[in-house]
Amino acid sequence: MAPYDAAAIRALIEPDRVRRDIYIDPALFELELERIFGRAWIWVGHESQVKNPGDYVTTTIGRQGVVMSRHSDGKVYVLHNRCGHRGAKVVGDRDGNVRFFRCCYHGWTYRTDGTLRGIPMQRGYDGTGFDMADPRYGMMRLPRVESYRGFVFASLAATGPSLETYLGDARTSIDDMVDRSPAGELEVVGGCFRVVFRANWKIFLENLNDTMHPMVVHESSVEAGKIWAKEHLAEGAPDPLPVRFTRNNGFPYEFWEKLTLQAHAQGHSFMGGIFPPRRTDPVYMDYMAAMEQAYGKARTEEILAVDRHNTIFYPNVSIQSGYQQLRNIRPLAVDRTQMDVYAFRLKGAPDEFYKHTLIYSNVVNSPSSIVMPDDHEAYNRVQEGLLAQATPWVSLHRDAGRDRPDAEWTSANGTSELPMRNQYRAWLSYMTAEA
Amino acid sequence: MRSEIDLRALDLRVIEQFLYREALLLDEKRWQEWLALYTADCFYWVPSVVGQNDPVDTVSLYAEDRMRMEMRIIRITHPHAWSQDFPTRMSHVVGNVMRDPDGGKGADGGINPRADLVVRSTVHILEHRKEEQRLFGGNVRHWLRREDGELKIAMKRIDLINCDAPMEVVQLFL
Repeated sequence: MAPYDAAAIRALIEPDRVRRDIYIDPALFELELERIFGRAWIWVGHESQVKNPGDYVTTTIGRQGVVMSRHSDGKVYVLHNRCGHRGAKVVGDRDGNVRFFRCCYHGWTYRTDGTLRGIPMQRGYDGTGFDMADPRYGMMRLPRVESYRGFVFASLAATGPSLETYLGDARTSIDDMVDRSPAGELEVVGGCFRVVFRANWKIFLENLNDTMHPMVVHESSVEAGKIWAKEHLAEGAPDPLPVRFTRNNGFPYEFWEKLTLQAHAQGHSFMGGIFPPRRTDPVYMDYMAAMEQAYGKARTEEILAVDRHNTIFYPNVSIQSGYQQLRNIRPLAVDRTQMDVYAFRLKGAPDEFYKHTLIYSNVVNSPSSIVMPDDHEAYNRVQEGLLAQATPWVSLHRDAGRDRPDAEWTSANGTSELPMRNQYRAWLSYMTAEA
Repeated sequence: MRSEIDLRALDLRVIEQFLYREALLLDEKRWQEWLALYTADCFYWVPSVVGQNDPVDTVSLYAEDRMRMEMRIIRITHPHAWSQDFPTRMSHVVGNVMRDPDGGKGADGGINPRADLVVRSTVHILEHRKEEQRLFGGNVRHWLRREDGELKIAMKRIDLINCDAPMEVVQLFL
């Protein structure tokens, strides 16, 4: 394994191309876990997953298990899932509700804020160097935890930019998702899809704002939508949602070219919408009425006029605000990634409206989606193809040099590879920063 | 009512043969013949949670009406379905076939299919693509209805034992 000093890391990234090593070298993957996933703000969950005191969910940051819990003080904590005694993983379930956490090994118990609650035969520690109140013998809290409108982020690093600085103006995509709720609040419901693919996590991240792939990769599902519609629908009849969510990927290049891409200084980005969430069916009309009652006509117009497809928060989460979807990217190995997909209910919206959200989840984000397998085929083939020594470089040249920087954002035409170039600027900045 | 009585009197062997035939059509990818086993108002459901109550409030691996089933078939048979460029192959073993003593009560996810008979079975599915095989297994319920003298599937529910596990994409019907 090659040792990577800062100069070696810088040599991997050029403004418009990157070395294949960043996708295939396990040594670089280890460095990413340390310097990106070990330092950045990482989305760990949504406050609605832990509504009541004692509620918890577990996840990982890189390989490290963490627990997000709601304590009796009403606050949300993010804890290392590690016993303060001998290190066993304390919480085994994915989620649940407890009065306290109890280690399965020697029965140490912890409050849901991570503090050590009890040790069997505690007198054995009398007169030793052990201090019950020392947080290092509790389930340690992650150094930094902050949330924005219900979205909980944590960082394994004690120092770094605040969540506010990290999100910057990209927070407007979270606003877009939350503002769509007549009650101004989201709720994770409906379970979770966990989908694994055999490619580096960055390949997925690149794809999220890649608008030159849908008409090629998704040809089979575009055709499924088109052919089904042709055989079953009257001319001019509105598309049922599954048709809309498949055939729109087949829009001509001119459509995608006209979308706007916005790349943020922190590595985030978003693209303009492709499945306009605004509709005229009765369910949507009921929803509109609930919105107007909550916000008034003008503000409702303003909220619903926003149409963004995927927004990426670098490095581990992407949302589709118009359809209330969230995809959490969990790197498992240099060539293996897990994606956890959540759907949100807009509080205050009619029940029927949420059914449409789940149709989107099922058609687009399920492991059995008729859309996604072709994406995964492409990611997996990139991973395999890059093993070739043909050339060390991967091209990100499309529309390079034509980016339009403006304060926090840089914008480009819809088919530019700006989002990927921007991701690698952020990558370089994390990977070469002094610890 | 008459069809209900007829179906209840059906020999279990006949029901078994019907399920074996469905498995064969899936294994041989005879999609149109397979689809013809289903009623026009059919529903195909693979929950994502153990004991899932319904396909409406919780996401499902599959929650497909006939439209979605037809769309899936168009996709997987399309020459440019890249993820079927090296087609998936499957082998089903169906066993433990019995009439559902509860008549599918509480298991239909609120779909409330019109059915004369509910049958339970166990399925093991060996799936192969590219260089590897994987195994799915679980419990199956078929809601069956007699239409024009033939057995049809009004609803199928497959409870995979790994329904909530991280998994790579699943493309064909199970």
